[in-house]
Amino acid sequence: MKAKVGVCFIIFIIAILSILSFIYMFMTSRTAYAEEDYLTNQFTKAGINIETCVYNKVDNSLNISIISDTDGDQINPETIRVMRVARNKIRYELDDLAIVNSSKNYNEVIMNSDRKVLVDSETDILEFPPFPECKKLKECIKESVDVEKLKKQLTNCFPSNYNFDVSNSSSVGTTVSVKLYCSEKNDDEINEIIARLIMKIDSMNKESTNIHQLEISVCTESDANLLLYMYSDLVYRDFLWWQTPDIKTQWTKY
Amino acid sequence: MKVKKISIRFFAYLVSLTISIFLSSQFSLEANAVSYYVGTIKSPSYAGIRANIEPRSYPNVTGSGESCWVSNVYVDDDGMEWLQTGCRYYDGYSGFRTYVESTKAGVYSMQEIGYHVLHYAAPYKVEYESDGKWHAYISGYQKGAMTFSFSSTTVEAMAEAHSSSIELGPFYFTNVNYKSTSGTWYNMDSTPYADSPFHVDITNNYTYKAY
Repeated sequence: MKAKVGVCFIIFIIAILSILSFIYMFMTSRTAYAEEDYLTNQFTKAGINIETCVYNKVDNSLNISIISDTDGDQINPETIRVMRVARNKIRYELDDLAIVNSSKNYNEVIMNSDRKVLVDSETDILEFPPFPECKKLKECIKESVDVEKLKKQLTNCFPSNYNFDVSNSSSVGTTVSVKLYCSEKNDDEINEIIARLIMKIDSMNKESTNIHQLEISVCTESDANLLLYMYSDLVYRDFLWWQTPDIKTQWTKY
Repeated sequence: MKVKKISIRFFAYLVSLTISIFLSSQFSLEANAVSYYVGTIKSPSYAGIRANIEPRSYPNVTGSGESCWVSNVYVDDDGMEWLQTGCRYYDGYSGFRTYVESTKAGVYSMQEIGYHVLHYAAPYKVEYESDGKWHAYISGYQKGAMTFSFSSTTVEAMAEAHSSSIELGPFYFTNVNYKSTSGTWYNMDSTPYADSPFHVDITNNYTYKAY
């Protein structure tokens, strides 16, 4: 009799545990679905043409597919801007979402307008670099900045053909957009400008300036043709760029 | 009065000259046209490369920078594609920084990840895996992956200086291995080379010092 009661009790406990775990799984998957929907809406609001936004529980990856407005096999500069905006959304605005917090990998797929996959990559975009300047930058993202003062400071520090625009937001911090003109397409000149510009901004960031994102457009002086477009996150040390195929080397080699 | 005006103009001229000299020194466009490489290349078709790379001191890289890495490299009519991982050290850096760099379909990407401390032979690896992607590993941890149109290609393990007037490393490469298309790892058997003015000391083809 006692043994029978014991068995019944164990079966009862197992049943309760099964029901609880089922409820937990149900609630978790509902939360995940809701967060995926929320994230998709955020992307759409930001003007990103999003195909899918799915969290994969098995490998803890967040899978985002973006449709680029390019129709060929190579992305265009606008795609770089879209990729940056998408990464910003994930890193800065939505890191309180469980599907983002628990993601170990960010799987980023870029398709052309015919839905052909051009880029399929995995990066750990949530890993925060241990460099002191990154910590300092992250701590002041929400601080407001005197936009005109910073613009003036930048204008004084750089040659006169560098046109600066400064914007500030509570989600990504201070973004400096630089537009500059080169006499003609010249790999060395362009790459060296980019490398030195980044070095200079890094050195300013080590002092009193706090520039979180850096957007650079290099155009030809004669017809304003875009030669290189870069949109970098200096907090996460994440550099994304497009360059005309005529430029055969990269700024990272300078 | 005239003398005073001329003096003011001369003073203004001196100020603008000083400013332009300062700016040109900050943004001089002396061409560092090429990179200088020291290391090994294995071509044409391999499925991965790995190496332990150890920096033992901070080099003088004034105004420039350098890196050491393993990489796949693919070239066709559309240009180059690659996935690369290693560490980089530039003017103003407080230490070597690990990174992953790639290019595919016109998207160029470079992410700095952490520190590579001196006297540590960190294992770096880039390899093609059964999921159809190339993966980049730093010290055994995956730090990036990407799909390419190829499953085997040229692989390289290099130190790279971005100016001839800086110090390179020294970087100690050990256990430099390449992966065959059948998935077996072999000791590197291509002879390491060095672009002048840099050097390589070869213990064997999979153990060398780049400097």
